[in-house]
Amino acid sequence: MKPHALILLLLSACGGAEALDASAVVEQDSNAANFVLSVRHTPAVMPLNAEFEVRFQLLDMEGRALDVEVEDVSVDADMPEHGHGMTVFPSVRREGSEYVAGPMLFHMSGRWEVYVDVRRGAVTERAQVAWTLD
Amino acid sequence: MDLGLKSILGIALLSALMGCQDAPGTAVEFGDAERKQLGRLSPLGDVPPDPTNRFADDPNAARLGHWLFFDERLSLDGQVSCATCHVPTHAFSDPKSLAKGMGLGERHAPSLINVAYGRWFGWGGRADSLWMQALGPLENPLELGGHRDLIADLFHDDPDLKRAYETTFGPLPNESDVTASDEVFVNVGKSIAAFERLLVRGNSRFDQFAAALASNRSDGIEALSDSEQRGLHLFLTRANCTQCHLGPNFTDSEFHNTAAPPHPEGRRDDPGRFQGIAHVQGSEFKASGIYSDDRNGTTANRVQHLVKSSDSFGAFKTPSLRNLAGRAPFMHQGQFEDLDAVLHFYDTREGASVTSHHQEQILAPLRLSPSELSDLHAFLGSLEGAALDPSLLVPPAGPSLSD
Repeated sequence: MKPHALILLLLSACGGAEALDASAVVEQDSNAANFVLSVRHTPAVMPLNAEFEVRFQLLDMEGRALDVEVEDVSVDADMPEHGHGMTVFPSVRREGSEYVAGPMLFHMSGRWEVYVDVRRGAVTERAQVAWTLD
Repeated sequence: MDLGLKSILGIALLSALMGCQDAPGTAVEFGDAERKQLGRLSPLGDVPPDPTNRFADDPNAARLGHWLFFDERLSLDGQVSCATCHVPTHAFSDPKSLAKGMGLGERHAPSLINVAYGRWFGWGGRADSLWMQALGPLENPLELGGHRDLIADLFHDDPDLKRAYETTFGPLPNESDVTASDEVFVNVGKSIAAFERLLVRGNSRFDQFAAALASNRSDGIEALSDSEQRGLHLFLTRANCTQCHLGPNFTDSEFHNTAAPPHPEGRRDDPGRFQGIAHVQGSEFKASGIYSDDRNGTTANRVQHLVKSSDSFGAFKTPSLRNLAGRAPFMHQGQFEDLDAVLHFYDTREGASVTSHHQEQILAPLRLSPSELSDLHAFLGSLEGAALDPSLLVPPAGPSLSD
């Protein structure tokens, strides 16, 4: 091992950093694989018990923006292990090619599932991503 | 490897090892996860601003509110004040389980120490600001039982009160003005809130310990005894207390159904947060209402986004764990006479009241040993902040700072 690599390893040995790159994107197919939810971490670190907004795009399976009115998009979050969700329900607005949902409030630590429901005609389809706050 | 590179490597090794080690003198190891949680719990920090009340930090308003807090003339029979149930020498809480003003109340009067750090106010969160909360008891027939018209009359009839009011808020509204009573009433609430924002006790021995640990200083570690450190570690880990008691005031300021058994004289079906949401959203005094000084702010927006669901039935606000000494009994009906009874409940879940609505599924018996319970109790005792200015515990000389 080269010395500078060892130095870097040692300096990171204490851990503690949970930084997520603000530009990091999580992509998840919807449950019926008819669209892709592309979520950008905003803010970089999910805050515990403080309101935040989540930004996402809806893409078709070829990566093109889905043509969905904002009224047909809803967002919610739940803690499956706790059997409850958030104490607030977010509104969704559109900013260019992105949808922005807020206020979001993860008031307890643990695993949160975020649900994005997209209604197209008579069909509502869900995509979900999960974050764990420790 | 040349000498320079060896030196750099040596320094890096030393730095890494120093950064990982515990501060000297800790009775139990606090790892990265525990230290991260400690950083969320301490220090208490400054009282958050309340933009819905532009008089929140006005000394004249606080002085008037201080006077009004003790003024029994605000009540229907002239014998009840805020201090009747929020007893200053009892951590501004009530030695009785259920509050008794003009009648027997349905809930315990919570402590007002550090109340200004809250997001919602009242056990069910019936108010979204401290000033809105202060208005409720004034007209509740079981509390002060007063009326805003009578309160406005009091200001017109008492020259000292009138002068104090006008020093802060400008001319007292003319009694013929149909909105006069409402305006005076709101400013009474804003004054009392300004006073209550002074009831802050931080900088506990726990905070001194947390600061020392955060900076790996041995100076300050001794602020907690070995037993208290073990109790803190339990609090952060196996006892799972920080699921709800998180943040600098040791509360998430949210609502949970812990299935605490009701007080023998208390309601078994208290709706708690379910009712609180309906109240705050329907109130003319909410943050988005005409009397708010920040109608489009964060708080106003938050109220519009509250989830109305049966999940919130029977849920009550997580109380702060700072400054527990001298404020028993505990819980929303004062059903536990002391801290040991609270710890016993969470340790065993004995007496848990099963209702048909959602309860916290993560609550399970902790099954701690007697010595662990003793450590946990000891730690909670380390959360006593610096004492309040004694002048806050008694009525001031008059309603104005010049009195």
